[in-house]
Amino acid sequence: MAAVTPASDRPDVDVIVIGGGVNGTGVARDAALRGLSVALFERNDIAFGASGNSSGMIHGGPRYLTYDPDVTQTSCEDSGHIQHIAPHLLFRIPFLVPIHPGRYPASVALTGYDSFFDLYDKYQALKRGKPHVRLSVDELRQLEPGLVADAVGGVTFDEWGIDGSRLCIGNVVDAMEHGAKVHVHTTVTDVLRRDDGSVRGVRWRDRMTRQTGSVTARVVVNATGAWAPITSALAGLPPNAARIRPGKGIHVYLDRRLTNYAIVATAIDGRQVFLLPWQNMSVLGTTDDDYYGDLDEVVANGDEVRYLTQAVARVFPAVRAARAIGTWGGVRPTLYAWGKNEDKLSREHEIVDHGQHGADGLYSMIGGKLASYRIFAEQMTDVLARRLGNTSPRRSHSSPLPGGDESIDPMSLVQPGGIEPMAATRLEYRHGSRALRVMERIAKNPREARVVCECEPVLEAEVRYVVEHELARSVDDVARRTRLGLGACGGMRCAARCGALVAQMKDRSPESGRRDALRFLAGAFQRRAPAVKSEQARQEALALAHLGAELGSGSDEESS
Amino acid sequence: MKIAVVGAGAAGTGAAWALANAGADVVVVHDRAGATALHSGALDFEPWEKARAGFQPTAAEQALAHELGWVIAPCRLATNAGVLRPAEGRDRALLDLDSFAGKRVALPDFVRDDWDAELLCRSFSSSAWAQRTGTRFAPRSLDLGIEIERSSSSYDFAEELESEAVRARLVAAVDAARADVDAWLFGPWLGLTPRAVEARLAALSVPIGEVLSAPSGVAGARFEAARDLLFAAKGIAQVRTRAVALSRGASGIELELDGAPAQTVERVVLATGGVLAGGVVLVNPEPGRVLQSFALSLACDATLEQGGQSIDDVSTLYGVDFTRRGAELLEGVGVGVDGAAVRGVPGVFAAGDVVADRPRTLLSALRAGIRAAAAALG
Repeated sequence: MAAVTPASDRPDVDVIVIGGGVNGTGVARDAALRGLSVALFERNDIAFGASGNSSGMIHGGPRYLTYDPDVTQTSCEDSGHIQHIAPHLLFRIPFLVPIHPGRYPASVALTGYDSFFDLYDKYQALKRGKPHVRLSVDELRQLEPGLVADAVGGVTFDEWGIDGSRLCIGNVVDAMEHGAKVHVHTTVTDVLRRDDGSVRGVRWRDRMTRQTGSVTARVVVNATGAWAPITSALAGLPPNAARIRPGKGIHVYLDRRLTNYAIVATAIDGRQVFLLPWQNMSVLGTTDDDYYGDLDEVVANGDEVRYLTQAVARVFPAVRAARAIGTWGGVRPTLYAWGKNEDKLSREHEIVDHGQHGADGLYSMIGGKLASYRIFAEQMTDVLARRLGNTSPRRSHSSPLPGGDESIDPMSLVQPGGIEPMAATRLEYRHGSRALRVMERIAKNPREARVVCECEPVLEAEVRYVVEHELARSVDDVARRTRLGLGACGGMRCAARCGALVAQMKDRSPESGRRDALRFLAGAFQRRAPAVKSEQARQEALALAHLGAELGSGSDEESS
Repeated sequence: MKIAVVGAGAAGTGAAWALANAGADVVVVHDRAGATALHSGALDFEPWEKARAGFQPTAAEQALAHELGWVIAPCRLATNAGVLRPAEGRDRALLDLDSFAGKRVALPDFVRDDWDAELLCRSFSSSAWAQRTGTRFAPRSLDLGIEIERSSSSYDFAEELESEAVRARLVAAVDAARADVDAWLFGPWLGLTPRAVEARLAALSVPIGEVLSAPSGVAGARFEAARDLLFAAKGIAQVRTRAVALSRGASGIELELDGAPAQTVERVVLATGGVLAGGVVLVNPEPGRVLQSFALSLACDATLEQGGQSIDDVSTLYGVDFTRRGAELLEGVGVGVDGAAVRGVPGVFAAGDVVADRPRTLLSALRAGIRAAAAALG
């Protein structure tokens, strides 16, 4: 189908992808794996939106079984593929559904759940999940002694946890290693169109350096999630050409793993919420509310935090006393529908060909979820490949993501570099076999074994690695990639050091590094604020005093 | 006159010292580490980046500061976040860079988690002050003949540096580099007591000083050591427990203590600190404590304020929401006072961070403590 174009009019790249979430990075990777030339633009950072702020699971979605069984099927299938290409990023999360006396007699309720999960078990094999187990009251109490006493029994089922930001980073790094050019903190200001309406490229602006430029391409993919209507408006289309139903979801995270199992609870409005052991903390989630605010500034509010806390406390009271160290919020780009409540919205995905709106060569990816991002990206890339006459085989399900090629024992990192076992475990989790590359830095320069963030922990070598190889340009970017500064101390001890490191590596002034750190800390405070309870109030005050003494306003003005 | 001081940070210490000097019978009740015990070593009267107050210390303040190992005099200090900042005074162990303007300052090139000499030098060297004065900062190796442990705490490292053998090596190494180093800027490792610091500095041919301490670092430990010596020397009694409640009894003010006999006193100086110290507590909602946002750590009739408004009373079952109110609430909330007298509670005076809307700085706390003592006596 590719027409012969005169050299002067030859586009810079085959494909421009707008958006660095899981859909955008997934398409960029798949297209690059098939040999297409790709440029990706991300307005904020990789995984800045819903992808980095999800519940952190590639779950099969048993919830969708009743009304969207295809979503369950696709999710479970693709979850199996994701496990195959990035085994280091996955961790098992066994779920517990305690059953409480309610409308139905206990035995009826238990049997109901039992048969429901019988159905779900059929999909579990696709993602190497274990079949569900029906539990007696005693067994339930033994597994989680913190549950309230009035349960009559329970059911377990099996899911997989994942760090969504790391998944996106894996995709984007793989794309770059296959030739893609990726621009973070670079917003698309215009989608350029020819006289006949077809799309020929984008104009961009780097939001950090204020540099501008343009790139031409044969096709442009709008993979901007909740931003999709905005992106379509940049192409001169009505925003509803790429319409979504924006559903805000927030999570509260606690300073440690309170439970071994994820626990399902029912919220006041009947929705299912959960308490989740996730990496080295616990997570409460999630809400689902229509959102019309600024997508760059999505933060949880006190109402949302209390709604979740109250729901989980009904089955697991200790959550009230637990120390919340932050919240995160994102906006789901669910398929548009009027008149449905948020929970009933489809988690399906679809591709919009804007040829129908007169913008030939522009596509929008609408909807989707972490668990099925790969197949969505594959479907999108299939469309691109057909259009561009590319016949390379699909490889995104079999070719490992960076670090997923072989498994390494984190304890093997402890000896040579002299790093602490906890640091080694976390490093291996985030980077898989590429942890060895971080360790090579330490072998060359033992100073880089210094711990920058004690809470997570994060070593200087990893900070430098993610700046050099994973596109990090700010403290916030480093945090997204390494979880630096997101632990119990909220960045009080590490943000300034990290800012100084990034500034040095990027050849920026130390002062700009301090401002970067202060921005991160202000954002972190804003995200903690709705969850602050008595115990943390003290620590917040200490952090303010410390930062006041050490950083002040961060500027380098001389006193008179 | 028998007077109780609740709290032993800068304000409580100032009050107890001034009361003892005036001949009062003083008992200090204190519990856990507060803002002073966690301080950085920089002494301010106002937040440093907002105002240059030009603090004029009184003779009493100078004398007390000296006892605590502090120097009240304008100075320029280095922080571990790479900032060179002015201050109105310092823990004596901190290096005053104003004394080394235009000189060569070396940072030891130790490989420790709490130290990055190279980054710090980059930052200090690029500061407007260093550029203007031509002050040079450079990392430099300093051989102490020991394996430096990367992850040991600053306390442990300070202790290690105090050992006899290392002390001698340090003196020798500093002396050997004397020709091209005018001062050494160290991390917070100079010593755990003011006396240890004093002894170290006296032995060196080139001055060494610290950067600011991290929270719960050695500067706070030195304050506590100095304070306890001072109290012992002045015959000030210490009861280490939490004050639970204060109320008016027939024979004076009853101070109820946790796990210790109650004290009956004529006056009380409240110097429990603010939210940071735990003197003011954010209340988690629970039955019987609804309509409360913040409370004093001891039961007392005082009301809490912030920004001139009462703040202890809220209309929520779910606790204060900081989404709107922001961090200022944590820094501003405290008891309302007229002068140093707590409004509505006769015989009780307050000083330091427990007072609403005062700068959370050490010198203002020290001054307030001394003044509260005068008010209590007067």
